[in-house]
Amino acid sequence: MRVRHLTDIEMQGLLDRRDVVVPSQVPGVLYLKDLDSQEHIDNCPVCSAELNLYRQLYGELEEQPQVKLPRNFATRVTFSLPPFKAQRTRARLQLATIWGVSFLVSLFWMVAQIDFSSLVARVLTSGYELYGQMTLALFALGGLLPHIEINALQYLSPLLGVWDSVVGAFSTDSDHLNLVVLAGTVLAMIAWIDHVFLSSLRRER
Amino acid sequence: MLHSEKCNFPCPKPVYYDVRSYAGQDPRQLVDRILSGDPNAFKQLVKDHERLVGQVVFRMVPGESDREDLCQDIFVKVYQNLDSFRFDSKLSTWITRIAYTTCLNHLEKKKTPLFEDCSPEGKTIDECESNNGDPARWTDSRRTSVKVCEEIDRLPVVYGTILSLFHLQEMTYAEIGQILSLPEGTVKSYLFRARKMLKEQLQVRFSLEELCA
Repeated sequence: MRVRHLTDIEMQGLLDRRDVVVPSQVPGVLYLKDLDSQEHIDNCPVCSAELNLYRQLYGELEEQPQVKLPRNFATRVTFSLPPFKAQRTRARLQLATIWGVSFLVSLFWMVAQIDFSSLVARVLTSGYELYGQMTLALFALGGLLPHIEINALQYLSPLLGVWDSVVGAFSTDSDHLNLVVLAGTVLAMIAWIDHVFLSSLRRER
Repeated sequence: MLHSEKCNFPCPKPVYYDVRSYAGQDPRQLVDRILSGDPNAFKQLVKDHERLVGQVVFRMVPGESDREDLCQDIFVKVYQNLDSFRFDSKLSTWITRIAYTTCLNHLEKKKTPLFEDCSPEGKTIDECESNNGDPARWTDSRRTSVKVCEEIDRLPVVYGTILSLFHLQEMTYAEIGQILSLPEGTVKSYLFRARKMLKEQLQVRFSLEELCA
């Protein structure tokens, strides 16, 4: 009868399954749950020798010398870096710049919407209206842009659409300007809640 | 001139960080401190991961004098990209991935193949021994260890790296897969082939008695 020897995959599989080694037994000896394999290994000098070789190889691989870098390596690396700056402060400054630029752009956009022929008269007579629109822009953009997240950006476009239609509906009626300011505040609140929610999600991750 | 306590100028009080207090600190806190601008926290990060990075670099870029500079470059990259790290994986896995890709780029520049025997033939046993950390441990099975060390260097770079990450750094298949951008199954397959190749190389070069002596 032809004897089937264990393959390399089987031998490595046996040694990788560390749970088959019974700790209370003689150290370095593999005890298999699969008695047929164990019996074969015990009686087959070829498989036994191969398995011993693999076992020794595993031992050597796990005991390979660790690389040692010079003792002052960490200090050297730290000193080689550019001057330490709070990276988050830098990021906040960048976001603040984005917000500032966006605010100015929105301001110019609003000014462009105004009929320049009656600008002076409108500012004088409807100063509160302009103030209301600016407050709305300030709240909406101020609430959103410093906390730009990919998910928040999904809300940006519809929010601005709502804002545009609200302004369009109420900007000529100064009696409703309080509503316009209120809408801006609500938009800012939505953006803020969105930001807090996303931050907490990220912290949980 | 050092700031004196008698100085009347309202200088801000200097902040002293004790690097020892960062040992064993949670990686999230450590990263937060680094991003707040604390150089000692970064120093601790380097200390925590220098062996891991060194192991990858020394395994992937054998026999080159600029390996320490490569390790330094890797930590500079870690510093530069730390604010983009979102803890989607373990910090050590992320750092090892940077080490691996940096070494790959280095090898590409040198046009070293990744899946062929690529160790410099000139590397001697003495050179291999000089890397051994604990000479006392190597007195017993010194000869076998040297042989294994030598033969790992003859394996393809990727195989040697996987062996090192799995057996020495005790990383899981999933972690190695993340580092090498390979599926778990491929990692298992490479690991099997690497061990088989290593065993066969040892059998070809040395007799069974020699190996098991």
